[in-house]
Amino acid sequence: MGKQLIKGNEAIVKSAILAGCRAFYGYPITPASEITEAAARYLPPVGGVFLQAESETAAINMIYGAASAGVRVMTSSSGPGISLMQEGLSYLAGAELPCVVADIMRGGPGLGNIAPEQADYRQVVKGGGHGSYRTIVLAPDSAQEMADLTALAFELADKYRNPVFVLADGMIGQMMEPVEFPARAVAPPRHDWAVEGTAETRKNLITSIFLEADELEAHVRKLEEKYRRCEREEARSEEIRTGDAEVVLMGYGIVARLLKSVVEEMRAEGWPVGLLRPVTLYPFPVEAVKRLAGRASLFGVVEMSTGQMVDDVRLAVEGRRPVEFYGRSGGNVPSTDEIVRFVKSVCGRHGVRAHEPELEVAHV
Amino acid sequence: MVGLKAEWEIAPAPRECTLAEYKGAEARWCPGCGDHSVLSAVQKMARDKQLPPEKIVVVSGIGCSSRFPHYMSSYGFHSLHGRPLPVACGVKSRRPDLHVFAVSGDGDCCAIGAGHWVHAIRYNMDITILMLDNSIYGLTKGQTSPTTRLGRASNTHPHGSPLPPLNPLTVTLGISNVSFVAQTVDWNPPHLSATIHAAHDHPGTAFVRVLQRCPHFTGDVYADALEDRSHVLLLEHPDGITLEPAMRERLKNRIEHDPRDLGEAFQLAARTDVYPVGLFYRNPDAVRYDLVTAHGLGKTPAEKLGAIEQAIERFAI
Ligand SMILES: Cc1ncc(C[n+]2csc(CCOP(=O)(O)OP(=O)(O)O)c2C)c(N)n1
Ligand code: SF4
Ligand SMILES: [Mg+2]
Repeated sequence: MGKQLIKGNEAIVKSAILAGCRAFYGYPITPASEITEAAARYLPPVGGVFLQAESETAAINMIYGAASAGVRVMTSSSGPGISLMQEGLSYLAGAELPCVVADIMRGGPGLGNIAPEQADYRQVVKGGGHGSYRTIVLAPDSAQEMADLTALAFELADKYRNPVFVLADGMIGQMMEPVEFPARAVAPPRHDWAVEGTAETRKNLITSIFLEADELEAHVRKLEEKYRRCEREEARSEEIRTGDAEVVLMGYGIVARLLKSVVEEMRAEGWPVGLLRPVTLYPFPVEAVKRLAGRASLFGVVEMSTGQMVDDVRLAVEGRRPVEFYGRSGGNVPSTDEIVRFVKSVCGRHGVRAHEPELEVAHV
Repeated sequence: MVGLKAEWEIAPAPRECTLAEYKGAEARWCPGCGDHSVLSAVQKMARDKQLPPEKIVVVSGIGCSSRFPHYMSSYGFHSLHGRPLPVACGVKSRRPDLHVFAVSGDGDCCAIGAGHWVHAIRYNMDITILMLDNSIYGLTKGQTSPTTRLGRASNTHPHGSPLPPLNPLTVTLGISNVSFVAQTVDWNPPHLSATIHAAHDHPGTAFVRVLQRCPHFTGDVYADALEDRSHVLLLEHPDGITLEPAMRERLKNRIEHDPRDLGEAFQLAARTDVYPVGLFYRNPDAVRYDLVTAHGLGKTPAEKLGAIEQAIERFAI
C-alpha cells in the first residue's frame, strides 16, 4: 500500500479494515468522532457494517452481538462513553468474546473537556466493570503505531478471546504522520466457538452466567490462567538509552514522545537518563521495570493525569528504588523544558549528577 | 440536618425582578442560532411571571442547546449527555417549591436519553422540558440525530440517513400518563413565548419541542417554513395556546384542535406535510409522581423524630 500521510484517527480505521474488521458500532464524541466518521466512510465500501448507535451502551451491546457471531468488530469513544461501555466490557470478557475498542482520551472527570489527558488509565487498564476480568491495553505513541497496534489488537483479541483497547489521546489522534500500511489485507478468521447460524455451530452457546459456585469459580480460574499467559507472553515495551541509565523515565503515548526529546537533550548535557516506554499497559512490562530497577537508582514517571500508571510502576519496582512523579492535567501538555526541570530536581534530591557532556559525534 | 423544610426555604424579600436579573453569561451560540430566541423567551417569561431567579433551576444535558443554564442567572445544572430528565426529576422530587426547567437536544433526549424520556413523561413531575430540535448533533459537529430526515447526509451517513426520522411528538403522546405536549418554532417569538408560558403554567411535565434553526449545520432544514408561512399549521382552541389577533392573522393556515382529544393530537402530530404548532394535548388531571415523592416535607423535626422512634420501637425485642 506504501506510505500515506494520515491522521492517527484515520490510521486506526484503515488498519482495522486491513486486519479484517467488518463491523463498527459507535456513538459520536469528541475527540474520537473522527474514528466513527472514518468508519462510516470506509467500512460500507468493503462490505462491512457501520452503525451509529443511539448511545455507547447500545454500541457495546451491538458489539457483544456481532462478536458472538465471529465477526471482527470494533468501536471507539472517549472518557464518558467508555464509562458507559464498562458494563458491556465485563460481559464480553466474561463470555470470552474478542473486540477492539479505541479510547481517545479527553479531560475528566465528569464532562471535563475535550483536550488530551491520560486519565482513563485506571478505568481502561484496571477495568471499570464488575468481576475478575482484564482487558488487554495497547498504547500507541505515533500515527504509525495507531495502525500497527490496531492490527495487533485484533490478533490479540482473537488469541485471548478478550476485549482489547487501543488507548491514545487527542494529540496522537490528530497528528498527521506518514504511515506504512501492510501490503495485504488479512482475511477475517473463522472461529469454532462462534454462533454462525449453521448446523455445526448449533451447540455453541455464548454466556457469562454460571449459576453454580464451583462452575463460576472454574470459569474465573480459566480466565485468570489466560491472563497469566498473556502477562508472560505479551508484555511489550521500548527502551531508549537505558543500558547505562541511572534515571529511568517512564511515560506512554504522547508523553513518551516528549520523554524521547528529554532523554536526547539531557544526554547531550551528560545526564544519565533513559526511557522505558510501556507499549502494552496491560500486561504491564513488569519484567523490564524489574530488570532496570536492579541497576538504575531512580524512576521518574510522567503522565497527563495526577498519577495513574505510576501505581503500576511502584508495584513493579517493589520499593527497591524511589519512584518520582510529574503530572499535568486538564488538557495541559507538559513542555520538554518543564519535564527537564522536574528530572533535574529529582536528580538533585537523590544525588544523581551529570557526567561529562557527550560529544556531538555520539549522535551521528 | 438536610431535608428539614425550615432550613432550605428561602423567603426572598418582595422585589421587582428586571430582565437583566435573569441574564447569565453572554451566550456563545453561533450567530443566528435558534437557541438565542428560546433563551430570551424563557428569560422574558420568568420576568413576566416574576419568578424569583433563586427559585428557578435550569437543568440541561450535553449539546449546544444544553449550554442554556450558563446563560441564565438562576440555579443551573449542566448534567450528563442524555440525563437532564432524571436530574430534573431528582431536584423536583424533593423541592416542590422550585421552578424546574430541563433543556435537551434531539440527540440528548431522543437518542442517548430516550430511556429517561419515557419514564420522565410517565412520572409527570411538575417540570418544563424544552427539547431544542435542530435535527443534528451540533456540539460534536454534524452527525445524524434521531430526528435527521431520511436521506440527509451527515458526517456519519455521508450517503444520507438510512432511516425515517423519529417523531418526538407522537412518541411523547404515546407514553402512559403523558400530560402536556406542544410544538413551536424558534423564529416566531410570540408563539414561542406563548408556548413556554403555557408549558410553565401546566401542573405536570410539559414537553415542548422547539423546531430550532442551526445555521451552522442544518440551515436549510426549516427553510420552507421560513420562506412560506403556509407551511406552518396553527392549532387553535380556547383551551390551547392563544396568540394576539395580529400575530394569529399572520398564520393563515389554522385548524381547530381540542387539546383533550388525544386521538386527533396523534393525527396532527404525525403530519409531515406541514409543521403543526400549538398545543396537541393537555391533561391537568394526570397523576403526578412529585406529589408522592414530596411526602413528609411538611413535617416538623419533632414529628419526624417521633416517627423514627416509633419505627424503631417496632423492632424492639
Ligand atoms: C456519554 C457521552 N457520549 C457522547 C458525548 C458527546 N456528545 C456531546 S453532545 C452530543 C450530541 C448533541 O446533540 P443534540 O443533543 O442534538 O444537541 P445539539 O448540540 O444539537 O444542541 C454528543 C454526541 C458525551 N458528551 N457524552
Ligand atoms: S452549531 Fe448549530 S446548534 Fe450549535 S450553536 Fe451553532 S447554530 Fe446553534
Ligand atoms: Mg441537536
